Amino acid sequence: MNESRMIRRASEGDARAIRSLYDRYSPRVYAVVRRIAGDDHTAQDYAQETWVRVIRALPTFRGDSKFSTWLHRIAVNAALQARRRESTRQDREVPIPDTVPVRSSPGDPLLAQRLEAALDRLPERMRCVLILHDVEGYTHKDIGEMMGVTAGTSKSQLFKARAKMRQWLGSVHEPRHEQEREAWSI
Amino acid sequence: MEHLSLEALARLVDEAPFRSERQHLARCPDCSRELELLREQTEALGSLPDMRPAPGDWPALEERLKREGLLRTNTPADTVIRLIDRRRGWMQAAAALVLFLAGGLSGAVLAPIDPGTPGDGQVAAGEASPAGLPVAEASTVEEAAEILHLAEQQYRDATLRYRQLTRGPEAEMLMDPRRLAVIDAMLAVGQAAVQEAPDDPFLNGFLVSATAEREAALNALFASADRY
Repeated sequence: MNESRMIRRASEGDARAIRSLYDRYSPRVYAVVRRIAGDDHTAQDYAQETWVRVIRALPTFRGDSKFSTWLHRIAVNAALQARRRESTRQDREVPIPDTVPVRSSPGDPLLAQRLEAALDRLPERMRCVLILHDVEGYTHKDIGEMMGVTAGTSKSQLFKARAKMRQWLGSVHEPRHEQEREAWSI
Repeated sequence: MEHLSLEALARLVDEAPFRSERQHLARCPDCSRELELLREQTEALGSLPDMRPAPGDWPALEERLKREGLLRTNTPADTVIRLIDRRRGWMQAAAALVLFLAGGLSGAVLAPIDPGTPGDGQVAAGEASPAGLPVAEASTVEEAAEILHLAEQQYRDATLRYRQLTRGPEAEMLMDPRRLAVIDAMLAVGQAAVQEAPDDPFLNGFLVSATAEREAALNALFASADRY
């Protein structure tokens, strides 16, 4: 079944078509909401909310953009809105494994695991900006609109987040980073 | 030598350096190396893989979608459509005939028909079509459509006549509203199927038969009502 037909049937409530869309796109949806959520339990709620919104909105999907882009935007908005609704998030103390150089090849499971753990540890706003920009490829203008901040704020948060990640993942300037760690303590 | 801050280096991952920063990077291997690692970190973040949700996520979502009325179980029409999905792609020209037929059938169902008057398309004996053309000589889609339309009309007329001449339990059966409801359901399935596979001759035939049967049932019901 091609995608446009699958989308049309899903918009009519066809169980099989909805399941097909879910099977095809749930890893993409789950990845972005999981990273924004910062933990699996919250991510499951966000993912479910995303899919309910998507199925509700399917009749309005006109195909002006790619379905995956449209879906992804809904996922990001659902997760960000849910985060805003929640009370102030308590910072997590996620143990980071011993330093491993970031130089590992892309796709390296150990590197991915360390990056994910470091992402979870970032303060919420920094984490969201870093995910949306460096992981998901949104522009600062898009991020500003989605998060209700200026593009300048988005940039500032991004640079701080990159630096913090770098600090946690190991640096060639250990003494200097010790000094900066003090300045960035949450 | 004072190093560039990590934040400044993080900015240089995707922005051009100021002159002073460029000059510093040119003579500071530590900061150049740090910038390189920040770029690698950014590249690694962009390559993070997707994540598969837990297996229990779908049942929970399915349950919620059902609760909210956003998901329906598959109907017989859906099943038919799925089956015929695999049979598409042949007899493309017949698609036009379906549209042609649909208009004719709708008009026929809506307009009262005098059962004593056969349709215009009387089939001559032999190989000639209702339009008087030998079927094999139809050389255009339009001619084929006309022949098909007239043949279908004659089929309906014949069905009506047969029903008029039929007496006994079958006549009573025709007037059963439950039967009409069943025919309506079959018609809906047929229409959905033909919409999905307009070039399928079996489905087209099924739709024509169901339409004719519905018409006969309606006429029987109206005739019954007139008697009272």
